[in-house]
Amino acid sequence: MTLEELEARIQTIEDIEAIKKLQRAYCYYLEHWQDEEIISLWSQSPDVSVEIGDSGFYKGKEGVIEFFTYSSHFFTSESKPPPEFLHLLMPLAGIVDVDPDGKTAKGRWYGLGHMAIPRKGKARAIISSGIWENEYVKEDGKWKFKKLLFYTIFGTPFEDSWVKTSHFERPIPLAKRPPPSAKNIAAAYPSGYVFPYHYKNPVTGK
Amino acid sequence: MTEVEARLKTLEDVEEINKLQRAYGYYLEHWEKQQLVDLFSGGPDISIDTGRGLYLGQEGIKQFFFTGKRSSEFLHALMQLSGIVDVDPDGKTAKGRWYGFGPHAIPRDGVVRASWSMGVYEDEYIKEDGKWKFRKIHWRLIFSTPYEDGWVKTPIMPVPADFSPIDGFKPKPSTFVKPYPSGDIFPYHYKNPVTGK
Amino acid sequence: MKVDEWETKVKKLVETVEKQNAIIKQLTRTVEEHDVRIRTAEDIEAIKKVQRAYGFYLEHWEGQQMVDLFSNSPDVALDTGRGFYAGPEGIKQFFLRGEIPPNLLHGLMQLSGIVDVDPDGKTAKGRWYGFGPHAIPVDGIRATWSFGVYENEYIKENGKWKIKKLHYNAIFSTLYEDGWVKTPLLPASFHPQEEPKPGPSTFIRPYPYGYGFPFHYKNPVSGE
Repeated sequence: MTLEELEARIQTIEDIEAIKKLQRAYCYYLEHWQDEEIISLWSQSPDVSVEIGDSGFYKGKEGVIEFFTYSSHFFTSESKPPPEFLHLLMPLAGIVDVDPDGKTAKGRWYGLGHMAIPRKGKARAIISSGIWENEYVKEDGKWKFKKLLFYTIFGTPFEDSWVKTSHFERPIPLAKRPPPSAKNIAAAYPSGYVFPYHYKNPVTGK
Repeated sequence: MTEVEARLKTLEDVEEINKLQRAYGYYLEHWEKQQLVDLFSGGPDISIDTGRGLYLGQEGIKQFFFTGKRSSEFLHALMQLSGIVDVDPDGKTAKGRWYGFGPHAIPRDGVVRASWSMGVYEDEYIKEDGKWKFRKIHWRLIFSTPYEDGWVKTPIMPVPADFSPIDGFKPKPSTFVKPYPSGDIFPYHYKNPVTGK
Repeated sequence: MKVDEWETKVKKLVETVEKQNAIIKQLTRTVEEHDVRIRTAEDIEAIKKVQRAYGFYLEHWEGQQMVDLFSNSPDVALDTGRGFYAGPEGIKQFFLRGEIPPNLLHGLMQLSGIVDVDPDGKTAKGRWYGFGPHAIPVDGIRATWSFGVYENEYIKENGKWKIKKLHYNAIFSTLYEDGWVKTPLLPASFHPQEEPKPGPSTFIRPYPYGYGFPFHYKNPVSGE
């Protein structure tokens, strides 16, 4: 075991922890939609993108800014959410794999959310569930988001359950958003669709 | 191996076992049978007990996972959370305690009902051919409740018929079936991290 | 050999030794850095274990086990919105609640932790979500969901990481049937011993306050 090999292994352990911290920090900012903080977590690369469920494929720096800026995301003149707004989305059970060159990485996470999105003054409790398959990149020694892809399993009104109403009626018509990417299929519950993995079976490698 | 390498190896082992356990959770969602079976050790000394019987050996594991029908309405998300993993001093075996929690939708007699499941795992792992694998999965169900009811009103639901053993296979009786509101604490593999008691 | 030849030889030898010394110094520094980096990774893992162990003990309220996770320092403190419990006596008062009925369920899974160890390796901070199902058998029994955010401090004593400050802000504690919009925060039903009265809680901002519990860390990318 050379010092260089030791160094590389220690670096990988640290990289995994840093990426997990990035993903969790993103979600803590999402709680009250702290858009500037969220946007700052993104790579400067022109290849960045974000896609949440069927809400449209937003690409490039401008796309990421448009998606996360509160006013443009929610089509409102307000710059930040009212107190009744709650967008809890816990990142859970993360599997992070750093690529051999130590410069890029991928992560799969569950998201479980408790939300309250006010509409015309009234907030509605929503439970949401989904899976992230994200790509990260290391720039200037810091890990950042490169591609965020969240597959929505369900977004259900609290009173209903995912069997009764797997997707609550969206306040913003999807026509106002860019089209979804080819990668994103309307694979929400109850499709039985297995969201593709970035990794192979950890034992068999298949 | 130097002391530093040994310490690094332990950190890597914990990370790999975390990945194994979480991968198990992702495969559970749509009950990906072969992927699940493949996470187990190739040895004879393996088992799984989730409260519907103690399934032993290679045959038992296959029986456990190859039952169950998957349809588009089937959802069996059981996220593997809050894991505490301890690698034994020889670096060849390990233990882990995890929460399993998630939303389900499982057809029972042709009717699909949404439900929440929650429980605790105490699992054992073994390193074979340089890879960490499951040796034993032991799950204690806390509740499995219809969405409309909650764990106080309806703590457990019957096991769906689709998950019954096939071809007359009989598992041994489960070893710990104490859901809410039994108050029983699923025994820990570890001692208090501060006092060691 | 002539004197000047000897001088040249000795000079070369000294240069070689000095170069070797510089390499050894560099290697020693690298080895020491590796040790610190591995120790930090181990510290993070140990702290996560303490926090998650806390969560597992919460399920059936194993009071003494939870007390044991705390430092004995006089400035240990706990605040979950039910009062500010200070010092080792305050911690005992909060956690030791006598016999726990079997139908008490106090699931609060410790999730999405961000742990940062301070540069001296002796203290640390962590932010966590707490989420889970409850059922408290006081004046009847009803299923409830709890959700909140922790911002905790940890300290390393005698080589073991312990909790120094536990600070939890409840976002909601709601009836199973109602949800957090209808009923954000139920009054607590499971109480610590009443005397002595704790100090007032320092931070109670449940839904729909709209304010996030302050972060112990700066933005991981911008550092601001």
